[in-house]
Amino acid sequence: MPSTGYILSAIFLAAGITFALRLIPFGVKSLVKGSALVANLAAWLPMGAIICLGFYVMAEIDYSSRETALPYLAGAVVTVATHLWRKNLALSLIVGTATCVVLANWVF
Amino acid sequence: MAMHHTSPDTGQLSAPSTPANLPGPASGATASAPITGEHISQLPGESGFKEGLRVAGVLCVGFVVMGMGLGVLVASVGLPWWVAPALSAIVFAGSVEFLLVGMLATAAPLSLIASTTLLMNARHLVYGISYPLQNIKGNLAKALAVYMLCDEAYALNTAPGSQNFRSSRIMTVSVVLWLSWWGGSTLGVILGATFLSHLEGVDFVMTGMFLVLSIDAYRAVKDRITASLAVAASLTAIVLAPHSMLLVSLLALVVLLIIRHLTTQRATTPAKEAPRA
Repeated sequence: MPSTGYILSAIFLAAGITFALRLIPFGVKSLVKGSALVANLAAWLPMGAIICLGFYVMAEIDYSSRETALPYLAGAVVTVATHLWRKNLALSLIVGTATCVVLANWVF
Repeated sequence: MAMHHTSPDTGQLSAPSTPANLPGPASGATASAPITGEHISQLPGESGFKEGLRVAGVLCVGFVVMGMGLGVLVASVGLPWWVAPALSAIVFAGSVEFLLVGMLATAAPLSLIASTTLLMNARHLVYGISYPLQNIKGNLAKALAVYMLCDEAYALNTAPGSQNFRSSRIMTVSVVLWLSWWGGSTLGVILGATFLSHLEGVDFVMTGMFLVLSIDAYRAVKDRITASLAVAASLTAIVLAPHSMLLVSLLALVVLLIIRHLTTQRATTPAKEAPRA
């Protein structure tokens, strides 16, 4: 269990960086405003980053054994399928998580 | 958040008008002043407070749901319950919080936390350009507004007509989103620590969350080039740097996008983005 001091340091560090990132542009508005590079990155980066995250979570699955991997893989398939079908975040998450939980606890 | 979809920007229920983790309508190749003129966002006689509640309502529900996902995740990796509200209220940045849960649980070095936060939240650097901060009265309120500037608050408060948005509308949107997020995560951690505590596989919530957000983000923008670059960056990172895959893929993505920008700059005008779905 990580220490409270470590956790709080991490939280305030992340919060500080985030706040600084949010604050900076108000100060350098004139410099950044006309930049086409900044505008393009702002448009492209969010979707790209989330896709990287999608790969990240799939890569983070524990592939060392069938028992650890299959519930998550099955959950992923179910989640994606449900979401492509119904386009509802809550539904997709619940169904996918339920799939993984059921498989992890009662099948494997 | 997104967001997105904070930050975020990030309420994704059914068909909200702005997807999570995406800059709002004023972004892209035209990230300059919002549309001037007659667009009025408020209903006749409506107070700024009510207007804020009305425009943010759907996303607040989404935030509660996603926040619960975060809270459940915190409980399932065995972190103390207070990490959920603390993370959500203090960092308030959507998807990066999910990453932080994983990193905290494995006691990742602070340098990794810092670099991941920096990369994941770098998009906030462009939010200030079009955010109507000048309409907010009082320095404390302005500071709060900047502090709570997640993807979704950005999207809602830079919608057409934003240069006329009242201080109370802007602040209401920010505050209710913030309350929904950490309220949801508190609910989630309670749920996770009680009903779900003995179950395996609950941390799938994070896996599912990002898969769904990827789909929604792509659906909203359909920018095939960026998507392909992201896929390429991710796969390369998995092969070359499996243990620091996220950081490497994000850095690679930024580099690829800069190259994309430079190559499209050679065409007559800066790249026009794919139309928003």
